[in-house]
Amino acid sequence: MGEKITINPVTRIEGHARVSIFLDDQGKVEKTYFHVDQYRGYEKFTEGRHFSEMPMITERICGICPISHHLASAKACDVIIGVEIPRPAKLLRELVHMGQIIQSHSMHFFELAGPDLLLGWDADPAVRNVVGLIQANPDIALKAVKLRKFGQRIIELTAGRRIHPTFAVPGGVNSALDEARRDEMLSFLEEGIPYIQEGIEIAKKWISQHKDECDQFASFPSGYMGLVKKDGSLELYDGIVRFMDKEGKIVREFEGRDYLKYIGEKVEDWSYLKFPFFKEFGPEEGFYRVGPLGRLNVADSISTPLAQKEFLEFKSLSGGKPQESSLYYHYARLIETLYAAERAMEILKDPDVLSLDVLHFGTPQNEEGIGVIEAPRGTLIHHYFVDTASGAMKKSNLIVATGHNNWAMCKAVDLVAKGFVDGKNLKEGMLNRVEGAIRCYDPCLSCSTHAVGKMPLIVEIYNQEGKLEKRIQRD
Amino acid sequence: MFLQELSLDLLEELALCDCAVFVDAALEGEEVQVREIFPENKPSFLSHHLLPEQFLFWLEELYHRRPRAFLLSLRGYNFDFGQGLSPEALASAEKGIKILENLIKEVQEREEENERPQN
Repeated sequence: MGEKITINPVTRIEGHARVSIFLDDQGKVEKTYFHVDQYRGYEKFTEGRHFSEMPMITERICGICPISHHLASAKACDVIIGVEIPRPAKLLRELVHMGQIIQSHSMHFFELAGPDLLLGWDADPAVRNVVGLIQANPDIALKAVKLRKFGQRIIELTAGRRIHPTFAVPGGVNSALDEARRDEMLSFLEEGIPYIQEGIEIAKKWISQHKDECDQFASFPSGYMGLVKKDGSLELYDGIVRFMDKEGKIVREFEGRDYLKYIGEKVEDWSYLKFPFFKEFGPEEGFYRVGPLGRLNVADSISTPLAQKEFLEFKSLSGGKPQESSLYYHYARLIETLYAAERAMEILKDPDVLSLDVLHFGTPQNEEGIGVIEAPRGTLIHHYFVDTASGAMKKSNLIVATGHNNWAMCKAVDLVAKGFVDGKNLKEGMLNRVEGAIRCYDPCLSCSTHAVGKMPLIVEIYNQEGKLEKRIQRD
Repeated sequence: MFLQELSLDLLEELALCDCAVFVDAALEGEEVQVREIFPENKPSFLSHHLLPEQFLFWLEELYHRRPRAFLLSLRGYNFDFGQGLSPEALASAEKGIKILENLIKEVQEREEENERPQN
């Protein structure tokens, strides 16, 4: 074993992570580790709280995808009180979820991934950021800001505020929608759909110009998992969980409430983030991917017309097989954004969306409740155990989207480090590609471990004796 | 506007403002601090963390707008898990509200002064 390179923190992701690259005597990469050093505490400190508080507490896990936690939690609470929520409430919950998909996905493509793709992996880090993007293409940047705003505005108009609303409650939602707010949303969604389509064209053009890189960058076989509707089409709010093997064969479909039968979690001593696996294949072979790429791989179709057209084109690139390259996450993310905008419009045109029948009351009937939703980054599971007499939380288990992708991110950084990093001639662009492999997955480490903190970027290079030879810090 | 964090989608709204006051909790420093801030390119590596100066920089770059801006920092004393504000933070908040009211009044008076016809 020769030198060790540390990338700390990984930049332009949500949360804090570190990458260790171990080199051999010739400066070639031997092994790379993706560490998540944050500590996760939510499952512990929610013990004893009243279950009805969970949608408001757990959404504080994240500032980017609070709606996912809010809704997965509310769905678990619906089960606790044993009610089927009214259809209008389900529509309104799905609507805010679509708002979140739009804001989160669009922000990721333009703000976090865009600098690498549009300015280049090897561009000067001083300009390879949002400011550089604004200066290089202000028109695109303005549209990206608008898309993010449209998504956030859907959340605000429907749920009362953009971040951490108190909207979804056990049994439904606590406010109905009026015509004025509905019409405002319909109006800006009409404006936003062409912007998303423009983003998709940018992605397609970039892929066609970098086809070999796209096909080879962090490309590897794995299982895939995501929610689908009963007809097998893409679903983000409610549906059945579909698991596909690396050959593209659907091996299992199950209800989210049965997740423990199918998903196990493995622990490694070098990361706080656990490694979920598909139990039928075991901890060594059962790893899988979730999120935009996983969802489009497992889905048979998309139920909205414009997104379906893009979906068919996306599928044609891999000849019907699962798409294995991590860079295609970016393309899949934009197709999902288009679906979310179209689906939001469908919901807003549904007569039930203005109904006042938005809440069914209830008291704890069941000791366990499980809520499953497709967060922007993948399948999110909230599992609660409650004392039905007092309503107090006894225990909870959260499996967060980023956790499902932990193995895949580790695999991606290892492949990219081996492909691009030359320890004897180290350049910043090489390390940026390693970070870029992680960015494909848009990990939210705050979600997956729920910690706070601040870090500079530190790259440390150690010699064979473990002595620090070089240290570069970026505050 | 009450927000947990600054993000790009707020740029459009800030572009309509002549003056903005950012009020936030501070980990250290004086009990209450107020200072005028200006656009500055201070990129953050994490999208969760955006400085107001960087936010103003983006605004100027993208919308060509440069409103007057102030940062009002209120010292927090206990960031551990819990409910409500500590007595010290509550005292900081009450002082901060008074400073904010005076700041708004001062800015309004200056604007009225500037708009008054010059003899």
